[in-house]
Parts: sequence; C-alpha cells; structure tokens
Amino acid sequence: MADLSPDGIGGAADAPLLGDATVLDAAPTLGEMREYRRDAALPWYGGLPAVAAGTLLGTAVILAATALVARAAGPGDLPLVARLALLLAPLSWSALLLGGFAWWLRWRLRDVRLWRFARANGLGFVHRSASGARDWRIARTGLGFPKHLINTEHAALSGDGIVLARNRPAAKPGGGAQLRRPFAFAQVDLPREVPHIVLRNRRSRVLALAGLGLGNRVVLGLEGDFDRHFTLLCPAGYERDALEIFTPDVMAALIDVAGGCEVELVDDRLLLYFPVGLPLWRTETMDRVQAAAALLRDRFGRQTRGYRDERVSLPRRTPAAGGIALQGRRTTSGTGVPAAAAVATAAVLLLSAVVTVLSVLVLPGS
Amino acid sequence: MEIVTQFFDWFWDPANAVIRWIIIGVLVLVLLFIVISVIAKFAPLAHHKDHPVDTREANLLALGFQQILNSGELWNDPAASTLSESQKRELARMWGLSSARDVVDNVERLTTERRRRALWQQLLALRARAAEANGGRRPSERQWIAAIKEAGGTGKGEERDFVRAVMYYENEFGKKLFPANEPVVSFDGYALGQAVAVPVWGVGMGLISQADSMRLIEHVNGIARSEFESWAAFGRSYALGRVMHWSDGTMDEKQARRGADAVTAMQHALDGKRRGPWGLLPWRI
Repeated sequence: MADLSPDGIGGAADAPLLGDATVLDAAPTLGEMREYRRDAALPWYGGLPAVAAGTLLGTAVILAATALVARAAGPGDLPLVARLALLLAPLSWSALLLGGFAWWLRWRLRDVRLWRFARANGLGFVHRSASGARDWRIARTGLGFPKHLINTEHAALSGDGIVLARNRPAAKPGGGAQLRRPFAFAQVDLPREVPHIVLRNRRSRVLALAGLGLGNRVVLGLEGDFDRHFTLLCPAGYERDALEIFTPDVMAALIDVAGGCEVELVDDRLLLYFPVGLPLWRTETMDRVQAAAALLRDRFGRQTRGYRDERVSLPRRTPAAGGIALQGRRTTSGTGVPAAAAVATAAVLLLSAVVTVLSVLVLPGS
Repeated sequence: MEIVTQFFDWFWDPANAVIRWIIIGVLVLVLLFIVISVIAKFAPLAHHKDHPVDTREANLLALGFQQILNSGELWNDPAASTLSESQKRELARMWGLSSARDVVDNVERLTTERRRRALWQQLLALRARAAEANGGRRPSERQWIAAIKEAGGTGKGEERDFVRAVMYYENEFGKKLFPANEPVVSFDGYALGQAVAVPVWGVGMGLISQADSMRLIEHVNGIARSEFESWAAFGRSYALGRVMHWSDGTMDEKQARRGADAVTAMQHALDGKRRGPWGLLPWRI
C-alpha cells in the first residue's frame, strides 16, 4: 500500500478536494448494487443476481456431472488415481468458480462504495472504459498509459481538475504479450504546461515495467533526502527548469505524502501512480489521497504558475501548441518488456543456474 | 466448346433440378446486389423533403454533414426530427446534454479547445513547415521526422507513432481525396463538424429552439469558413481528425475502417451529380 502519511498534509486545503469521504463507511445494500448496475448501463447478466445464479448453476452442473460419471463408472472398480481425480477435479473447478465469484463480488462492493461517494459529492463516475482503440475521451498521456496498449480504467472518479481511477493496461489483439502492472492513479490538472518529468520511486516501483528508454532523458541528482526516495528524470537540457519546479518545499511535500507513489508531470497534468490495491474505498485512504492531491496541487501549482519555457519558438500559425518546446515535451520511452523477452531471460538465468550447480556438485565427483 | 454444351446438358438435366434452382437463386441474389449497389452509387443523396437544400441555412448545416450523417440523421434537417428516443438517450449520455446550457457549453468547448493536444499541434505545425519546404507537397515520413529533430524533438516514441499514424491513414483513405499537394495540417475540422451537429441534436431533444441552434451554427461556420480553404480541406481535416482521436494517434486497422465512413461521406457530399451539398453549395458565404 502507498505510504500516504497524514503528517504535513493538514492545512493544504480546508475542504476535501473531492468531498466528504465518510459516505464510504456503510456497506453497500442490495438496492445500491441494483442501482449501480443500472447507472453503469451494465447488461442484466452483469448484475449480482445473474452472476450469483450463474456461479451456483455452474457449480451444480460440475457436481451433477461428477455424480453421473461416478455412478456410471462405479467408483469401487476404479483405480485409486482415477478415484482421486474424480474427487479433486470437480472440487477444484467448483472452488475456482466460487473463488472467482468472491473476487468479483469483492471488487464490485468496493466500486459501489466509490460510486456512492461520487454520487454524494456530485462527481463523475465511470464504471469501466477503455482508451486507445476503444474510446479516445479518456485517452491519457503519461508513461502509465502507453498508446500501443489498451488502457482500461475502472471506477473512475472525476471532480474539478482531478481524476482517481484504477488502470489495467492490456495488449491489443495481435499486439503481442506485454508485461504491465495494473495500478491506481490520481491525475491533477496544473495551471500551466511543464516539461516532462518523472519521479521513479526507489522503494515502490509502481511503473517498474513501464520501460523508460535511454532517449533524451537525464537523471538529475537533488539535494537532501530526496534522492533516497526518488530518482528524478527529465529531458536533456531541462535540468535547470526541473530545479525551478522542484524546490525544497515541493520535495518535502512529495516525501511526506507521496513516499509510496511514482510521480509524473506531463503537459499540464500531475500524475500520481499508486499500487492497484490502494484501498480508495476506505474513508481514511480516500481522505489521505485527497489531502495528498490537494497539497501537491497547491505546491506544484505555485511553482509552475510562473514557469515559462524559454526555448519555445513555434512555427507561425500554430494554435494551441502550448508553452513547452518539443524537446521538453516528452522523455522518450520504451515500449515495455515483451513477455517473451522476460520468459527468455528467466529461462537463460535458470539454465545457467542449473549448469553452475551441475558443474559444482556433479562434475568434480565424476 | 464441348465443355459448355456438357455443362448445359448437366444443368438442364431434370435429375439436377435442386442444384439448378440453388444456382439460379444465388445468381439472382448476386444480380440484385449489383443492381442495388449501382443504384445506390448514383442515387441522389437523401435529404429531408420539408427543408430546403439550397438556401444559406442549408449551407450552414452542410458543415456538419459528416457528423450528422454519422448519427443517422438527414443533413438538411435543422431539427433532427428523425431522432429516436434511444438515440436521444444515447446522445444525452455521450455528450452530457440535459439543458440548453449543456448545448452551449459543448459548442463553446468544441470551438475553443477543439480537442487539440499540444504535442500534436506542434507536430502538425512542423508538417506544415516541411510541406512548405517541399514545394507545398506532403513531406515524406523521413522529411517530417527530420523537421521534428531539427525543432529539438527526438523523432522517436510518441512523435514517430504520430507521424506514422497520420501517413498510414492518409494512404488508407486514398490519393483521390487526400492528394499529395494538399497535406492535412489541422484536425480542427472534426471538432467544428461536431459543433454543428450538437445544436441540431439539441433542437431534436427539445433543449433549445431552432433559432438559437442556427445562431450557434452560424458562429461555428464563421470560424470554419475563415480557417479552411474549401469543403474538401474541411472534410479531410474532419476525417483524419476523427480517426486520429479515436485511435489516440496510433495506427489501427479497425479505426482506419471506421474513419473510412467519414471519407465516404465526404465523397458523397462533394458529388454534385448526386446532389451532394458540398458539390453544389459555395464554400464562401
């Protein structure tokens, strides 16, 4: 879980950024589950009764089929292995089905709480939507949202200049296997555009497989304790600009409230990446995330308000091209770690280990 | 020759009656399909009979042709009178339309922000610069990337993906409507085309009056007519803008097919023989 310490957060904002989180406390009712399904425009088979009935029916079918097979075969005549298989196969399949249902229900109940929070505070809520090939409206920019993947957002809450959601990147059909971790994130609007800056967390690698390339970015050493928590990456030539934004009070705020996150500034957005299990559906976590986002918005807002990229010299007639020169807009990034490459690397490592063990333990004696 | 007579003997043999009727049925279906396709290709474009197609109002509405056609409406109907209840619900959900204010806000957003992304704007401006250096012709991928690198970019990652996607979609859409001497350097047509459709839907949904809707449409037209040179230039911007936004700036075969609808609509609109409004009405008003 992200380390969202409440220390130092107080006073950043009087009112919570999104709203009163105590509405998250109560357990969801059946009525709310029903209303959630309707509100999210889910089909009838996406509701609790249908999923529960489907699970029970599936389990019943498995057990009935096992009973029929056992009766037809006559268990007394079967060898021990076959009898064991006849016992374990239906049990494991049933456990898988019931476990899947429990997993589904667990997340649905959490999402219903978040939906209730959104409704109570007049926020936008989207049950599930995919960017990229499916829906550009939620297409986001940042290392966590590579464009060659489909980024599916779950339980997205949107308020005034802030979005909170879970994101699950997945390969496009025919796009090859890619290892990407799901994560939760907060996106906060900044008053103006800034160079692309990434803070990689030394202890908690939420975007561990994001695949930052060697392109145009440089690693910038910062003073004090900061380097023990984060590695700051910025485009080459923007070191001074990064220092202008990352003043000691901004760094202190980051260590205080975002010690467990990875952070990215891109265009006019601040992105905080959390582990996917961050329990936003709990009052205290929601309060902390809101307070952290408010504090960082305040600090970064103050620092970036006056920021100006001196390198901007755009061609004529370039409306809305923004205030950042092309060289500062993106650090070039890689495309993640192909699953095949990861498997191959693991296989090579395993093989070398086996060879080493054999050569040490077996060969000397032979 | 013998094989033909043998085939006819076999075909008319009473023992092959079932196969004969199946073959005849298939041939009739194919013929019917060809006839319908030919008629559809040359048939005049559908329009609402109660509304004119040659007035100034029709000219203003024609700017939203691709978007309005995409939602299944008739392009010259200022009240979107054929919207079904489910379409209204869907539009309300997608666009957040529940009051007159929502209609105005959407039009304002579409005419000011125009779905622009700062990075894309920079890359398009560099394409315009590279085209200028190329005598007005569309720069090659190499030339465009070189212009990006010269401007300080890396020409890698998102920048390269964007360049490749634009060129891929232009090639997919064909040289006839996307000629090399008129490269697309703005995607604004997409947002502006939508900004015409939104007030029309607003009337159909009972949110604003037709007079208010036409005032908004007039405003959108004022912007579009001054920023684009022709119907074709606007249509190209709309089609490419749409496919780039939906694909999030990446090459995507599915999106190319989807974007092709807007190109087909543009082709029809430009065809004066089929009473396509863009082929008959003047761009300058």
